[in-house]
Amino acid sequence: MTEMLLDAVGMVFQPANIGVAMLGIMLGTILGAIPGLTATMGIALLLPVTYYMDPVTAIILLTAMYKGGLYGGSVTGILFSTPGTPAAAFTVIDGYKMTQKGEGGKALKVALIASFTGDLFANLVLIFSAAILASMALAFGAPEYATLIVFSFTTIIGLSRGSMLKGFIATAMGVFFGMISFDPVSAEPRFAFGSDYLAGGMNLIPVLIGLLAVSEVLRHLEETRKGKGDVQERIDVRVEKQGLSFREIWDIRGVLLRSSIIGTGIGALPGLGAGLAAFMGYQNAKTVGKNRHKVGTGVAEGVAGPEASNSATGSANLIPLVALGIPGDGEAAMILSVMVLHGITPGPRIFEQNGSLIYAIMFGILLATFFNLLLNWFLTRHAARVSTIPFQYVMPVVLITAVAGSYGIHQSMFDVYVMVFFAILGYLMTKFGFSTIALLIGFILGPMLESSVRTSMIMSGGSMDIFFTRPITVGLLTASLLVILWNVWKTLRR
Amino acid sequence: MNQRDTSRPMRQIPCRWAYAAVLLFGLSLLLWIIPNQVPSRSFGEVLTPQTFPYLIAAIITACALILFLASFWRPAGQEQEVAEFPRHIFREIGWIILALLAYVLAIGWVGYYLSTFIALLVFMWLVGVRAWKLMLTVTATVSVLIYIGMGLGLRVRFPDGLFW
Repeated sequence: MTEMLLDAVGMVFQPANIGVAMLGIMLGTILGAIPGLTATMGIALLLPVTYYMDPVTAIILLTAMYKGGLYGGSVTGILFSTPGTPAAAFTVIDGYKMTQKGEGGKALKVALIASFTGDLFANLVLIFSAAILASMALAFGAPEYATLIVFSFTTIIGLSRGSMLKGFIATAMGVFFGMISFDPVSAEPRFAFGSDYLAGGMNLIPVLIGLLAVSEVLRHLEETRKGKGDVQERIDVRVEKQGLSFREIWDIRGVLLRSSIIGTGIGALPGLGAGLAAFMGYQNAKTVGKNRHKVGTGVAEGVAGPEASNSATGSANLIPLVALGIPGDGEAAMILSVMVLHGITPGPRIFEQNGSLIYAIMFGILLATFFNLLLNWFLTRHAARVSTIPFQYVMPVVLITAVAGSYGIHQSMFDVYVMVFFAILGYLMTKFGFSTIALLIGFILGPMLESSVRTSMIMSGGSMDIFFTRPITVGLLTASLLVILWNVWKTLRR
Repeated sequence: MNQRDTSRPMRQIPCRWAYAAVLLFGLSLLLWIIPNQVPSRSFGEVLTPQTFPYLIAAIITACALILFLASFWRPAGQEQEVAEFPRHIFREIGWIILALLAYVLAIGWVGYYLSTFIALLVFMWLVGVRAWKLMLTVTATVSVLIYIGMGLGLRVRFPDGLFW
């Protein structure tokens, strides 16, 4: 163990890794601050480039970009009331009011401290818990995996605010698209329509770029078409002149800690996401603490609560990914795609097979967390300036990069067609209220579910009893049923 | 969905059309695609290779059918579920999607770098940029960066097209 950790430290503290951590934070902050661009979109576009990197360097770059992007999104939210991500919407409530009171710079620094605290807490939980969870999961066989994936699907379906049935459809569509390939047992092509390309299946990265980057560009284009309301008002926030004393940070320690715990718990469960974490973090700030009655009027607690919670999910979502191989959201799916590209299979055996590498990745994420605090403490002023770049100048570049990136990995035009197909599908799905993340997770986990179910049935000689006689499968199926019933109850009450 | 932007006219399209499309897709999977595109021979398994695809298609069809039928029944006072698109959807989004499709198809014919150069200019024009110097500067810079970064740096060999 000690040797593994020392190896990991040696792997992380390479000049290239330190360089990409800094670059990732800066790029992410800039992307997050440009209206219409998000951290998720940025890392989706950068995925193909990471194919050519060492896996540790690649994942440090992506996670650094994600952390920078979340903060960049908060900058536009706090200064201009235009949250860069849905999760930043709760930060805006108090953040923008602080800006209106002339305390925008202070709000940004509170957001940064809160992001750092949430991230750090979730990182430490990831480092100390993933190996334990993975060793417990070593007892998992095919039936346990099948029911675990069913449980993940049911929690992800909860993402589909408004309709559980839409969540089912999106997930099932994802599973269907994941099935376009060879049959896992007979190895015969299915859904190929005579095409060799379809018989080989669709690669994850073009699907990710189409669903998470290009479809978002199309959606945002509607809002900013021909210069309507996209250029931010140039306001002088004097962010560099507003300090944050240690006393002020100490005063919000309770909110920071509680929100970090909430965000880590929510992030560790597949499908719940940063949006719910931010909401819970904001509720926590509103209900506990001496300043709880002032939350909503522009106080530090109202910024710290949601920001610590949503940042914590960014690292906590790696717990089920690393230990069980289950990506809980879009960001985790992107990290998974990098791991798979480099021949690393997340899951219970990952610490036996790639222990040093996994710890190196975790330490690298920790490194990015510290750089996020250090760099953005001084770069905030520039991030605020970047947010005045009109979306029209950026959008064509995003489209071109998406095409180049989709083509780049396998040098195949089929991947580009797949990207365009999922971009249009993602745009329409979002318009009609279907979750694109549910489709993505269905696409990734569908083949695993099918293999696990078919292996289980072979093990049991065709009896479904195998799913109802083992304690873990019974527990997971019960939990899935409870999640569905809770969603049904929520729908009926509405 | 359902977020009304009061500053611009929006076209409301009932969600039932989307449910009908998904229902049609599910039925075509059940009745045509799975029987013809998935082998039915079982290799000693209790489940055939078609079982899992049928299960997924059944879930899609059943959920879409419920949503479609439910869209005709609305409790009093509840508005029909709609998706909002720009009123001039073709002018605002359609041209961009068409240009993207044309660009992707043109790559194989005229080559990657030339089609990218033209596509960047077209995209910028379509989103309302009219400053020619800026358009040419952005286009040239991005094209050169892709050539250096991906072409030379990562050794990605982009299609040359049919005429080179």
